[in-house]
Amino acid sequence: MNTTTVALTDVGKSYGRADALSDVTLALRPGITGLLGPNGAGKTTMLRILATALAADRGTVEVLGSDPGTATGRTAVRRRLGYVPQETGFPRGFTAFSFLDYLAILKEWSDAETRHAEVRRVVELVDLTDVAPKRVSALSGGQRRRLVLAQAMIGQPDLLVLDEPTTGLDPAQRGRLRDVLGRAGESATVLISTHQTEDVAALCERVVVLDGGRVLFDGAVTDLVRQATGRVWMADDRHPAAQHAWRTGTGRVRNVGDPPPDAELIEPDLEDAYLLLVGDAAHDAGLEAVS
Amino acid sequence: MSAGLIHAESPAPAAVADGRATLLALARADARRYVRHPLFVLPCAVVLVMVVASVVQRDGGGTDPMFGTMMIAFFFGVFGFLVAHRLTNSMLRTRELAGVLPVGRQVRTLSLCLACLVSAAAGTATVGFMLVTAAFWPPDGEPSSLPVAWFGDYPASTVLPALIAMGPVAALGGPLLGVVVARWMPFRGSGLLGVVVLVVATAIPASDSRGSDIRLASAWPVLMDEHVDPDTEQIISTTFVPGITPGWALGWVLCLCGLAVVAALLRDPQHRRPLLFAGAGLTLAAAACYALALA
Ligand SMILES: Nc1ncnc2c1ncn2[C@@H]1O[C@H](COP(=O)(O)OP(=O)(O)O)[C@@H](O)[C@H]1O
Ligand SMILES: [Mg+2]
Repeated sequence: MNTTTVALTDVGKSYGRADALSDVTLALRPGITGLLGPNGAGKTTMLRILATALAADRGTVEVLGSDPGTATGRTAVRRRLGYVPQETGFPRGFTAFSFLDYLAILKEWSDAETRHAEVRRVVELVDLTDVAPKRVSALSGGQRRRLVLAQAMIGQPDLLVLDEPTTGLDPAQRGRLRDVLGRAGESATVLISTHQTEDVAALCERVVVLDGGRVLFDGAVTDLVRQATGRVWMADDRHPAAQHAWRTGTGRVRNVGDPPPDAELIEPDLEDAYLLLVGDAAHDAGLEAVS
Repeated sequence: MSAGLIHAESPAPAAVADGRATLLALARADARRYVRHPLFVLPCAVVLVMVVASVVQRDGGGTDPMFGTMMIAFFFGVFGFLVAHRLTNSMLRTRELAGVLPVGRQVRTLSLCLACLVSAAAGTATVGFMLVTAAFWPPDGEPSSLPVAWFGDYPASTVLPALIAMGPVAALGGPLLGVVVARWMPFRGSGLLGVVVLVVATAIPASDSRGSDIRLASAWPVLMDEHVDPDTEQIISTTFVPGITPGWALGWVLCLCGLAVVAALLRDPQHRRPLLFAGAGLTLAAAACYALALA
């Protein structure tokens, strides 16, 4: 499937005078796309626009063939959308199950029997079966995070917009989540923002890097990693030319930046590549500001 | 965890949405939330204890109608205001999620208004209890020149509308106002503020020293007067306020309920024209009922 399901063209969004997003052009297809970027890069702003929670100020947005700028377009998108916001509160008085059941009604699952079956399915999917009868207020942070994920999976939506879904999850839960998202990505368009480069490396074929409201990189994960080839090396100490350096478990120091001629080069990973990309962009911006 | 379940398809794709079925399913869920709300459960228990106690205490006499309806209006109407307000505002913390679901806020408002029927049903049950106990155990009615306490001399066509207007309709109107206030003033303190305004605005015109036109112009019009024996300080009779026809008074308060629903729905832009028409029609009907009740 190579059909474009989500298209942003020159999209901008400002809060007051500050541009949270500027001239973002992006086309997504079914499959999992990772969204990386430092804090304040505009990831949440972009995801909220795709999830119809926020309207773009400039540019055109097309989601699943509909225009979220119109009321009918928004409803059409919402019928096929699963959304995990970066943060959300919970209404009082619900159990985990009844909360999902209530949201399923708001997703137009009016028949009680099929709805309950669907809620049980997503509860099982995120491994919350044991705590389903518990009050939401009695759940742990990670359990609540998975509850929000479960509601996004109701009805197997065609578009999943996930804003840092893995925060607060332990490694086993993250592994399970990858499994669930991997399956969803076989047919749906999944856009997932995260600070965890390992999640992107493990899950995504494609990655978009945002910084300062602009797209710094959009392409295959392997292409981004390849950009860092020859720029990561091991040494006994931190090298002055390194942009980033840290002592690893072996006691040696991993240096990321422009290596000296005799450097002991190693294979880069996605995190190295991401750090270099964002670091180089900041460097270039600094040069521009000086000149 | 079973792999089978993960592989399983959704039991059904979200079928072509049927707006009415969705509304009914949602209203059922909201009604369940209403029934389980502590501010409804607790008043229910209190009312139950009080009506039973009042029957027992009055030596086989039925529940005092003034006391009974006031209890309904307070415990189901005023408390219901808070219940509905809280249920309506409960999604505030979840709005980032709730805001992007296909069922919009206006449908949710209508569903909450329907859930307020739970309160009306509780009020109806209480009035039913009052009628039954009065029929089986008529009050002993002290000798008096006035009609006996349980409206002995009034026809049912007068007694029933008055009891319904002051009981179940008050139990419905309170929560409906709670929905309105929560929708138009979506912050936490607006509930308590609303309750204070509601009680004060109801109490001021209710005093029996006022003219019938002012007494009717209240969220809870008091349509009856009690007469107390000056020696024993016991209620010896209940009469209707002269100059108010209870049937039309019932129409008046029902129109007010309808206007509350329209006001709550008008918070959202959809269906604005029909809602404004309905609002205009209800305003006219309310004015007509008010005038006819006083005629
Ligand atoms: N509601 C808001 N009001 C004002 N500024 C905002 C608001 N939301 C986000 N911003 C600003 O927009 C920029 C992008 O934010 P955000 O999209 O949340 O970034 P990210 O999710 O990548 O951390 C930041 O500079 C942030 O301060
Ligand atoms: Mg964010």
